[in-house]
Amino acid sequence: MIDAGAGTAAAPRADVGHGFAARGHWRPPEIAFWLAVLATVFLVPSWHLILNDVAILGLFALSLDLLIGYAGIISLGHAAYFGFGAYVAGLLAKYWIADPVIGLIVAGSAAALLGFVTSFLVLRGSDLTRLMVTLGVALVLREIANQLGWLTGGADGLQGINMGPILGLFDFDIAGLVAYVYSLIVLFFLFVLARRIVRSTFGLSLRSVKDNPMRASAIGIRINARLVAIYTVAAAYAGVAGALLTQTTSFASLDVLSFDRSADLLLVLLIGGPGYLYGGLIGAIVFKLMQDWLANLTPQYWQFWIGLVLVLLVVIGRERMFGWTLPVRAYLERLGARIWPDRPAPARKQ
Amino acid sequence: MLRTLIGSAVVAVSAFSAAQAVAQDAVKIGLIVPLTGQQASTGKQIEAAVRLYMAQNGTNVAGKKIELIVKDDGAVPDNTKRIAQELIVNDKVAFIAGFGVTPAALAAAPLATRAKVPEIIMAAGTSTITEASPYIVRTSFTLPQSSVVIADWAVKNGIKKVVTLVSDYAPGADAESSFKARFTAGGGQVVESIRVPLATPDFAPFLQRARDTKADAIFIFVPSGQGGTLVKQYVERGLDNAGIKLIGPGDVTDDDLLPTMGDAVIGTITAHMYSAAHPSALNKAFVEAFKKANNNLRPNFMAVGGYDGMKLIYDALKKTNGATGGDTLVSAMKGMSWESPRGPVSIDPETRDIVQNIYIRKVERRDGELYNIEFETVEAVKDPVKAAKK
Amino acid sequence: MATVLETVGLEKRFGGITATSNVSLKIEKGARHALIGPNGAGKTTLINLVTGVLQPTAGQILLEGQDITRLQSYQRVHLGMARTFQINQLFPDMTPVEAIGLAVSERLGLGGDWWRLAGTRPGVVDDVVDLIDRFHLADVRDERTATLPYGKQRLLEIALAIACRPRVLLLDEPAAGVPEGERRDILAAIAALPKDVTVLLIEHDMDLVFTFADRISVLVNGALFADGLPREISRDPRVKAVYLGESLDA
Repeated sequence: MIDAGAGTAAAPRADVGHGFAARGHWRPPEIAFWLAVLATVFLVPSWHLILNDVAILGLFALSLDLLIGYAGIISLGHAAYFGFGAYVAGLLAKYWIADPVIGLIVAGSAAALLGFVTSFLVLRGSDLTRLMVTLGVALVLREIANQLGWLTGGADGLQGINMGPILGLFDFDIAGLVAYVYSLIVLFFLFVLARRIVRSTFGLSLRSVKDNPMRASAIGIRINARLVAIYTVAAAYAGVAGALLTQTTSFASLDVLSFDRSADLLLVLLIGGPGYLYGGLIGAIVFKLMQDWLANLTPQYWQFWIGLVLVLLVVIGRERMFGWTLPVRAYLERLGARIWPDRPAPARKQ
Repeated sequence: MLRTLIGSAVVAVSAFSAAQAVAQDAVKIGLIVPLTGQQASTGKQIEAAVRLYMAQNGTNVAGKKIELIVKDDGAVPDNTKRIAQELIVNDKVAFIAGFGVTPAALAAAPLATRAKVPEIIMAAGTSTITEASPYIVRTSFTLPQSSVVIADWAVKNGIKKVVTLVSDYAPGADAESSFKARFTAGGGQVVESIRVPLATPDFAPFLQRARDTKADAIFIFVPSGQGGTLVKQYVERGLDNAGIKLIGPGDVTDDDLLPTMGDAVIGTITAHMYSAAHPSALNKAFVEAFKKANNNLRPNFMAVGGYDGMKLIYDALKKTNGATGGDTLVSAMKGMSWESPRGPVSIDPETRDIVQNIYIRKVERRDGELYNIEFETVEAVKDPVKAAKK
Repeated sequence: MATVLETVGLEKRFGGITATSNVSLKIEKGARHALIGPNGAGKTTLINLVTGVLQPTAGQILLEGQDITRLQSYQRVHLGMARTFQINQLFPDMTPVEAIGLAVSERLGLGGDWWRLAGTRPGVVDDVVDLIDRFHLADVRDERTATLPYGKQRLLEIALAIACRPRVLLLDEPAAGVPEGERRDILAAIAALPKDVTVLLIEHDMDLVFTFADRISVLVNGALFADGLPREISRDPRVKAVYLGESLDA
């Protein structure tokens, strides 16, 4: 006879059901974040050029978050897919079709294919071998691009890229407004998609693989297939980010495949924190704006300051450094509860 | 109440426009150079030279106040492009200048064309840069100018067989191909063309291969930071003892690093457009003033590109009487000629590229320091690559 | 009676050490089969071989007559085999609801669904609630597994295995280290397993073994030492000798 035991009332079915459904709801702090992003389109036009860079970096960091924060795959060569997408978009526009949206789709698909093919190399072995393999893939790709100078422009870079108007309607203007809005829309769209993916059953299974691969196998998860899938998606996202860079700057150079780019990306994600999708975006904002601000103050020493910030992050801990945002987020949650009183609160206790 | 509000609004708006009007009398120059990263020494030299020129010649030209805005692009082309765009759109600069590496110059080119802003190249040396936009004017150099001159010198001085050793990137390939074309046209033979990976710390295996060719000379081109190591290993590998002369464009004995390279480089023969030891009164004064203002740092060929770039800007403004606007300024610049610390220079009206003397020099020790001592001059060298296209 | 799980001459060598030696076991459908033996006898290794965590050096494993020796762990799970681990293998960062929800979804073949929000397919919630209640996890259902008390974790460990609706369930010392109060819950949960589920249980607790098992196998030094009905085993002098040495040390 099963003893009810201490404090074990039956779980109400409705509660559990709502608990699952509530995982998908947009929390008020998220809504506030995107509203603030939207506001920048109208309020700070002189920042559009740098904010475009932030959006692209944010998308790139988001793609790395999918790998590190959700699948537990570490990569030191993610720029390979970024750069591949950048060159594909550039070459497509230069020699064939100058339509930006088509360029994004082609570049993203090409990067996905590259990601798929290289995933089998990357997923073998431990974290340490992954660091080396991913680094190697990026280096090889960069050297190929360097050698194929007749195609890629080599160290001089790919020039002569003239982007057509977006959807046949919006020409890229010199003030950078169209470019920024374009990047933002792409970022938002892909963010929403990523959000769906990580909140889905597939996303949950990825988290379980990251948490405990042995247990994940023991409940019937085919780990390799899942990891290949997310690696491919992450590569596609990185490729789209690279394509955006080429399209909004009309230029692509070997830099997009450099080790620096992969390493900086890791920094960006670490600043914001992996595992909750906003870390890459926040990291991109902090990193890029700090870089710009510091470069104006002390161009020679901004790397020192960035390094200092990172050391502080590690020593003090991200939670404590960003702890000041907790009351802000709590306030926003209360505000949201007043605006939408019928929404169930999230089940998970933090 | 309402009237007070409107009144204050009117005052605010007029003050704002007055400020704008005052600002119209300033001509802003956006200097985009690498101040961090691998190319930082280039940026440093250019900025120092630009500031020296402004200190010596004042900041008022043709009734306009000259304002300099310096930005670091780290030699990353996407940065360059964004910074150039911000300078043009937000700061409304009348010139963008600098550009430490070729990709940076090329990234900004479409902007220069679109916004009709003159782009003054003070460093980057690839031939085709000036073709990327009709608003690009160069005051630095092109690599082929030097490669071709050293090739001619080699032919004239009985060097029959040469092995080339260059870094495997576009400027290296440029130097190699322009040297090879000229040298073989003059009857010489390039026995082997060796490419060295850009990031290599060790030239030994490549130098050994070069030595085995038993050529009369080895033509080298590597980015300026690697020159010292290369020459040292050239000596260590015994190439000078084997009678293989070291020749090449002057990047390998860059004045910025030459003082620290040691005796191994003495005797190296290079062709270049500038040596800090150029024996003109103008240059002596330039070098002295530069050293004084920069902690005894010796100016190099990048610095002189920056110095002359500023002179070009000032002279163009004087000629247009302070009028800005890309078309006006660029046509004013075409055909200009003047005496530079490096020697006489002019801007080719057809290509907007610099025409200058190229000197053959040898490294010697003078007054306790190493210098490139000029012993032959080739006058008024135009960029050979573009000249050949005509 | 049908043989549902069978090993034929199963052997596992690690370099010079033989961890499993020529083990041939037959387990009948619906059995409550206990596997006992001194520490280091190779019981967990045997389970690891059967579930695919280790590959045997020789021998075969048959599930309902099908040779599964070369199949990977996850494939065996889909064929109806589930296990619990001697040391809890849970998802520290997930809540019991999420973990069980995932196990149920995987069983329903929804693991690859990247569009629909997790746990919102009909049928998933019902199963999850049922399991949460059965294993007394209702009061901790939304807390991170890492923060749960050991006994609740052990219950979750079993719940995850049951969520796969296995036909063969391998339990590796399910009650080990569990405080008395939760022990009863665990024993009751095991006793309440459906009759058509075949259970292979590794245990040290002899009371539990003799109450629960209808057949006992004894493993010593990696080899099958004795195999038979509980009363036969309890009277076997050789088994007593093996355990006599054990109990003096205990």
